[in-house]
Amino acid sequence: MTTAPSEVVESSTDEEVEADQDSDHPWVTIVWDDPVNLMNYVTYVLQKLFGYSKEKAERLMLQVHNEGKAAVSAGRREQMELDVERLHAHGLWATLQKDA
Amino acid sequence: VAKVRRSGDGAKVTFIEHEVTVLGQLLDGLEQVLVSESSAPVVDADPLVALTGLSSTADDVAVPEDPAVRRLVPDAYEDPIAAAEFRRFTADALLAGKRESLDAVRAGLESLGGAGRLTISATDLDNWVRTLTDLRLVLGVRLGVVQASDIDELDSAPEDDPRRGSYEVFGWLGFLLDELLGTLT
Repeated sequence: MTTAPSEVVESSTDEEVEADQDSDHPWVTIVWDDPVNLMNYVTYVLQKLFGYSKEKAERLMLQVHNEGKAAVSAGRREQMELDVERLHAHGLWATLQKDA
Repeated sequence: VAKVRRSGDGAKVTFIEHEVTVLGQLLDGLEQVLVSESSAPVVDADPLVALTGLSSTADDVAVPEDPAVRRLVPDAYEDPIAAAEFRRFTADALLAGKRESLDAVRAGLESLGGAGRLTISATDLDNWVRTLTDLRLVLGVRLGVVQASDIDELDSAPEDDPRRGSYEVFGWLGFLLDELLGTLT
């Protein structure tokens, strides 16, 4: 990702990714770092699609930027496929996989 | 250069004529990329499959040839068969959605009919940031940007580098996108 993050609209909900990670929900959606997408755009998309607070979306965005990837959602496989599709619709590079 | 400011839940953007022309051309180019892929026939590489019409697995679904399309519709799974199956069920809707966003942006630009100030509604603002992102992704692929150091290399490319013009457009799209995202604060 590229350029500095800017402030984005505050969201009311802050559903934790970890909440869904149990044995019945063993799939995760991963967002991968890419050199083109703007950091503040990635934050915008994570807030918009998942209803995350600005703080949580920025934390995940920075994890993608610094570590190369981040798990942005977890749950049933069908839901993760939907999340990946929505992220692709917004130009983010995303995959799903079984949680290790 | 385009001036952007917040206007209610949307934005107002003042374009100079050259920007409207360039953006129109970029949208045409993106539309060709999106349309070419969705209308392309799925070719079975395996002659037996072609002969018999049997295709019990997903691995005969064509992976897009254009690397720009592969970036816009990336693999959802590491496993190529699972990725191909996912692609088969989702790619058309994904590309259609991107065309809808593109059409909304173009409609706004055409309503302007040249230089001037365009009012972008809150709904269209989302279409704008998504389409500007798609334009940058495609241009990034054309410029050979695969890692952050490629951007650094382009930044320090000499004046006569043939990629210079495209890279300036790439930078301008990033500027416009950043400004529009700034109005969402």
